[in-house]
Amino acid sequence: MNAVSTLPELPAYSEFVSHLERAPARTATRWPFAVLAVLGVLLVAAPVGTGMFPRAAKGAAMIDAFGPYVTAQSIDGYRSDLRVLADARTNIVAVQSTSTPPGEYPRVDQFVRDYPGIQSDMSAMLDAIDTHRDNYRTLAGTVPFGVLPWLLALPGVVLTAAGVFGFRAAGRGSRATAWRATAALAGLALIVTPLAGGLFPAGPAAQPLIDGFRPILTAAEVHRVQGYFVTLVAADGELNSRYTAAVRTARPDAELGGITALEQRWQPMTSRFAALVGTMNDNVGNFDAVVALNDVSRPLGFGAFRGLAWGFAIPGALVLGLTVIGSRRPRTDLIDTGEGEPQ
Amino acid sequence: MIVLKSSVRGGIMAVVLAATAVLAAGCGSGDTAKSSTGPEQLVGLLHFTPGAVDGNTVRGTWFRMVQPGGTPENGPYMPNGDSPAQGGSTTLLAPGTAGGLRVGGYQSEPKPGFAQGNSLSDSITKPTRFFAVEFGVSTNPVDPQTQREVGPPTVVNNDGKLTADLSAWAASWNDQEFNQGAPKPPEKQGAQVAGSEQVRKVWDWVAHQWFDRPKSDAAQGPSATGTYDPKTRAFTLQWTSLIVGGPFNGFTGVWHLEGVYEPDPATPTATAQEPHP
Repeated sequence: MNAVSTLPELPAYSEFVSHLERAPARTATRWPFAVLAVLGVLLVAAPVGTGMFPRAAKGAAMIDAFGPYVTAQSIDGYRSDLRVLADARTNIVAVQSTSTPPGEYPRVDQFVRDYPGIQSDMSAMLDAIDTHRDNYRTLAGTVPFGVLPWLLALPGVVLTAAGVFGFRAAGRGSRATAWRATAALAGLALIVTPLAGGLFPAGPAAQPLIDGFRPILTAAEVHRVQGYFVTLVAADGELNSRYTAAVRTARPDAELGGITALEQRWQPMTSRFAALVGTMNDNVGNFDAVVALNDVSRPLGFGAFRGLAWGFAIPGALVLGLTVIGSRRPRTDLIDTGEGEPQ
Repeated sequence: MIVLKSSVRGGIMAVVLAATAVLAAGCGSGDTAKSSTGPEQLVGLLHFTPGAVDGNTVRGTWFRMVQPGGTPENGPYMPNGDSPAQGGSTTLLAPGTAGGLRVGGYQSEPKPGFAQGNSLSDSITKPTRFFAVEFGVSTNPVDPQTQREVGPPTVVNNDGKLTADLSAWAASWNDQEFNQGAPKPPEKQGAQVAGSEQVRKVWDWVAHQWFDRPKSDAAQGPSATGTYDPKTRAFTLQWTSLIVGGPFNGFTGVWHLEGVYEPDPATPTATAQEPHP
């Protein structure tokens, strides 16, 4: 306000100064807020556009589902089951080499014929799971996958809001400190997420795990393993209901330790086997979703999981940088206009 | 106001209904003089006749499991080594502790549902050995495999033809659950984005309330069908049910129930089994 004295004994300011010089109107730096808003929109658009929300949820479901199977104890149990089946087959072959019991036993014969292939395939599957146990543990130890897209999108929303409102406030000459602080917090969250969530070690672990599980988690493999299951249960049924009794009748002194061990182990073995086949079957789609998510960044020359941590950290660092730019008051040559203290 | 006694009102209603039925029959174009009572709900117990085999012929109540790619008529079937019927292709079933299937109520799976893999669901059918492990049948408000809400079994008789909603029919074997209903509830809900399930439920409710749309988890597909003789109350019911998900994904159950219907107007809405000791 240009106060003009109304007292008659005092001269007016204009009597001494011919030209009134006003301080230039101050505007805070606005472009960092525009960039923040763009970054925010990108952080929201990225998980939406790449289908990360449903795919990450499926990845989380798959990691949870395989938890009981990707342990040393579980894998040892399955290997032990395969050995019991192999011993039973050896027992049957030994019996058949001396004298075949009367009658037809097509399912036992099929078991004898097919089991080496079954054992080989199942062992390879178990080896693959065993090889990638550490990678699985690393991935399972990260922040839950289903939450990851939210950890990008929510800071994105905050940054968009901070950018838009900060831009408007800066246009009015304010330094928009509150919006800068809000954006800085969102940026900090983006940096902390990969560090606290274990995303940096998870990146290198994901690709080998995907490669290792790729041959296992297909509809064709599940169908093949179901066929193994049919072969095994049919053979056991025949052993149980007719074969063993026929051998005992024909040769009371026959050594049937392998078959007996199989019968004793049968129920828990088939329960475990059924559970594994069921988990494989139910996660073929989830695995495909994980692969699709990883391939999103293939055009850029790397898998998405490898770049995931940086996908948080780089925007986070950018945001922090942008909040600093323009936070200090721009230097202007202030001229005392008699209007009181500068704001 | 004239108040009629309920017996008089009932009599008048009966006469009116009978006259309507006679008129309806008279208006029919058929040559037969068959009277039609229209669809009627059967509420009570479907008491099962135990399965039996005579040579290569099976009677009574039984089950088959078709391998993926097979057909209910020709198989190939899972050969149950514990069954003497048709080379193991058919598994004979016996009535459980309740004598069979209760229509209009549930016969729920006990908790726990298994002992060393053997099913403890023994109300509908007696647990039956299937590859050395016993399987059982139950009906539950929430299907154990799909986790979908399903209604209790219902059976409608329409001039000797039965149509049944057995979407709650569930088999359990070796710590595994398989929905074997007809019609089928949708498969188990897959992984969902946080919050989307709640949104879906709200939309489902709105669509059902105001737009008369069926709920998204409503059972779909063909119902069980069969025959009914009102004189003897003898019934048959049969259906096929594809297993969706789990270790036997793609296998198909073929079910045949046979026995005598026992009307029971006082059917409980739910009869959960007591837990086994």
